[in-house]
Formats: sequence, C-alpha cells, structure tokens
Amino acid sequence: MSIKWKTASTNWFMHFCVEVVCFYCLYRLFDGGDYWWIMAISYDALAFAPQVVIGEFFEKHPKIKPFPIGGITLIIGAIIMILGENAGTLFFTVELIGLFFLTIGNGIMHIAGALRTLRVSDGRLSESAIFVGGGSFGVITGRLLAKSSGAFIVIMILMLAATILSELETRSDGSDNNFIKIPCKHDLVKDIPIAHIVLILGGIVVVRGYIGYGLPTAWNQTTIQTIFLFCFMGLGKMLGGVLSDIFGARKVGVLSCLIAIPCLLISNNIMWLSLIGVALFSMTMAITLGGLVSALKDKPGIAFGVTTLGLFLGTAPMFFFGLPSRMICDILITVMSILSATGFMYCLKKNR
Amino acid sequence: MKNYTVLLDEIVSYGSIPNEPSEIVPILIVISIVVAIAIIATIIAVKRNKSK
Repeated sequence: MSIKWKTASTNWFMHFCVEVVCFYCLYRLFDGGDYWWIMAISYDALAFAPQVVIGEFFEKHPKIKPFPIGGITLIIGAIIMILGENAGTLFFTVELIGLFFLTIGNGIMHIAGALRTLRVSDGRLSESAIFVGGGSFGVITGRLLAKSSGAFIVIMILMLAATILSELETRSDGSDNNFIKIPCKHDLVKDIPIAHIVLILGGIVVVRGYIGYGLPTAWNQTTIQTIFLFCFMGLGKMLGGVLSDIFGARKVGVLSCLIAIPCLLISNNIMWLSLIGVALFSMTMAITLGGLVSALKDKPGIAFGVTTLGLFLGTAPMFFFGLPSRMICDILITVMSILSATGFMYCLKKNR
Repeated sequence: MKNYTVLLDEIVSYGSIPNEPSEIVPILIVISIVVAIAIIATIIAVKRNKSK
C-alpha cells in the first residue's frame, strides 16, 4: 500500500481551509444571535444537499476545473458576508446572498477533493479519508478564530493558497483535469442490488449524523477539551480509511461500530475513553463512502454527494426537535451502532 | 446541555425556532426543493447505474 501523500495532504489542507472560512463567517456573524437558527440550517442544507448534483455536473463536464471555480466562489461568498455586517436594514438579505455563494463554493470544493482523491487512489480509501478528516480540524479552528476580526484577511490568503495548491496538485502528475476520467477501482461491496447498498449505507450516514449530536461528552467543559473532541473526530475519519486499507473495510467498519458502544456509554465523564469512542464512531465515514463508490463506480461525485445528503438528512431533525433524553440517546447509540455493523456485514465483501 | 456533544451545541441551546414565520417559510421551501432535487438525482443515478 503506497498512499499518494501529496494528493491526500493537499486536499486535507484544502478541506481544512474551506471549513475554517465557512465556520469563521457563521460564528463571527451569527453565533447565538437572532439569525443563528435560519443561517445554520440554510448552511447545512445548501452546502450538503446539492453535492449530488454538483458531482454529476463536474463528472459530465470534465474540462471545467472545479478547484478554481469552487475556491473563488467561496472567497466571494465570505467577502460578501463579512462586508454585509455593515449593511444595516439589508443585513439579512446580503447575508443570504453571501451564504449562497459560500455554500455553493463549499460544495464544489468538497466534490473536487472527493473526485481527486477517489479517482487517483487505485482503489484505496486512505486518500479520501485523509481529505475528509481535514474538515473537523477546520471547523474548530474557524470557530476559535471567529473571535478575532483581524483573522479574516489571513484565512482569505490561506484559502487562496489552498485553491492554487489544489489546482497545481492536479497538474503535478500530468493528468490536469483528466483525473475526472480516471476510473474508480474501489471494490468493497458484494454482488447485491445497488439500490440496497445506497439505501443501507446512506441510511447508516443518516442515523449516525443524527446520533452524532447525542454522544455523551459531559467532560467537555473547556475550549481545549473541545479542541481535543474535534481533533479526535478528524483523526477517526482519517484512520477509518487508512486502517480499512490495511485490515479490510468490513472488519474495521464492524469492529469500530461495536467497540464504540461501550467506549461511548461508560465514558460520559472519562475524557480519554470518550475520545477513543468518538474516533471509533467517526471511522465509519470513510467506509460508507468507499462502499458507495464501489456501488456507483463511475459516479464517485454522486457517491460522495449521497454521504453529504445523508448527513444533512440526519442533522435536520435536530433543528426542529432538538435531542431526546440522555437515556433515549444511549439506547439510540447502541441500537444504531449494532444496525450499522449489521449493514456493513450485509453490504461489504468479507476479504475487503 | 453540556451533557451533549458540542458539535453545534448552540443549535441545541436554541432548539426552538426563533425567527418570524415570514422569514423562515420561504427559506424552508427553498431547502425542501434543493433536498428533493438531490434525492431525485440520486435515484436517477442509481437507476442508470443499474441498467449498465
């Protein structure tokens, strides 16, 4: 196994910067304010749900370069949002326009990173998992930087650098944008109907997106502990792909689901055990993506879009109903983790 | 509320919908349309892949 580190690390950095920009804008402008709810749900919906369509578009038009388009759209959106802070009565309208550009740019960059890492990885999950893992580090960094108005210019420069680096990286192996035509070699799923795989693996993303909010972390009281929490989420996502390439996706998927249950349920006040549980819980992300790509082989953009759509569908109920009681959350974590493990056993090949 | 993860703990804190319906309804309609298009695109992609 030889991971393409240049592709993986460039896209990790790109994903990190994308989330820093988005969460900087959201927390700087709306954190706890009157518009928080509506902007948060709009961000989730417009960044996550349309990625299926964005993926389909860039696969149909391989000559169009997704990295520069996505990066510039995102930067324009962020600038509109930050300038809109002083728009007076037009504040909400200007912010919605800015959010539209920000989320579309976000979606394009995600799809671009997914297409690049999935198509050049020769069937491995490591590259795409490392790319996906960058997001968690970016979310917490953006939230922390939101307290500083001077940080905006720095993150804009970083985002521009990430866009240029990502585009240059696609040219470094001579493939230019032709990487969008490289066939995906992922072969993780059994010979069962594609609809079953999409429904089951998509369903796993939905339920885990929902119960992700209900993980017991009473220990988390300080900023440094929150940083640890997000870092372990990111590490879990990255390790999920790397360990799958070494030991097999099915083994890693089933074991991470099952071992996460006791780690999460008994560790409400034990930080390190809880962090291990969170990392194990996050590992399934790369495996569901790998399974979906294996099923929708020539459509990795759509496969990635299904996971982000699932994440939105999983998180949407939170906006309307909040969380159930602690006991119900614990029951959901247990039942859903067992169902996820069963889903992996049904969909994924034994030796993969 | 600190019993729960802080992924977006503010949403839990502001669990009730705070905005005026006149602001929320149009945005929820747009969100519903976007999600519906995404689901339809997924179904079409699965059907196309199946027929190959």
